[in-house]
Amino acid sequence: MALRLSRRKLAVYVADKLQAGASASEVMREIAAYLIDTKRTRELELLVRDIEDALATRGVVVADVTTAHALGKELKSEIGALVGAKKLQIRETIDESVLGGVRIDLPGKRFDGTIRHKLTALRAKKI
Amino acid sequence: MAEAAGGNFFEALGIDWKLLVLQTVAFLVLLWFLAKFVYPPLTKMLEKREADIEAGVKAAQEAEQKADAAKAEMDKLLKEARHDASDIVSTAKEEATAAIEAAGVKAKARAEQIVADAHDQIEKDVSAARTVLHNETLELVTLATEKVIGKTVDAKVDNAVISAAVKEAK
Repeated sequence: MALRLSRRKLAVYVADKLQAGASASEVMREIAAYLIDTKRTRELELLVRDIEDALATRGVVVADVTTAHALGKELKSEIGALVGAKKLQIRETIDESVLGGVRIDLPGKRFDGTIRHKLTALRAKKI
Repeated sequence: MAEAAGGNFFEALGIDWKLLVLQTVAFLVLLWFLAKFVYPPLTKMLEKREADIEAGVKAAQEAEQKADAAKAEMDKLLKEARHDASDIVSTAKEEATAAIEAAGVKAKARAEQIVADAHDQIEKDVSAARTVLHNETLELVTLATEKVIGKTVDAKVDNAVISAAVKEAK
């Protein structure tokens, strides 16, 4: 049975591997095998978040971008400039319920410029 | 001769001196009897009656004096009672006046309190109505905006919104 490592160490390991140019699918397969072997598959989502955090400290940012319509190249470059990462990977989600605007989820922070968020903020002004 | 003359004198007057002596003795005996047996109890009874009358008179005088004293006492008591009654009435009037004034002040204060409470309640109601209006307006504006934006925002408009949002975030 494999040695039990902390989630943080695993995240740093994966980030190092990815930054060194290793194949993402191979690294993830390795990690998946490790989680299954150590019966820690429930920690997968948390591990992914930790990996994103570890990558973010190295200037590699994975941004979850949610919009009502598909993003054009120009907007993606604007978002990249906003995030200010050396390397930005955008994970795009189309969600019409946001009505318009954009929501960007970054490791550790969120920018919500959607119309849905503004309407929710307006509703929150109820006395 | 003289005796004869005396006997003639009585005879001339129609008096029988023997009978006279006898009557005198009888009278003296009667007098003695009366003095011995009749007059003393009669006198005693009269004295007793006189004493009773005097006692009655004295008692009547005492009763009269007592009545006078009682009348004087009653007059004094009546005077005091009138005075006390006057004081009581005066005090009662003062107390009634004070009570009326106190009731007036209390009623005025209560009325002012009611008016103040009414004002407060009105302000609260107005404030609550404003809040409800504010909230309903917000809800309506939000719903209307959702409806309108859901139909009118196309990709082009959305891109402009996104661009503006990104610029705003910078």
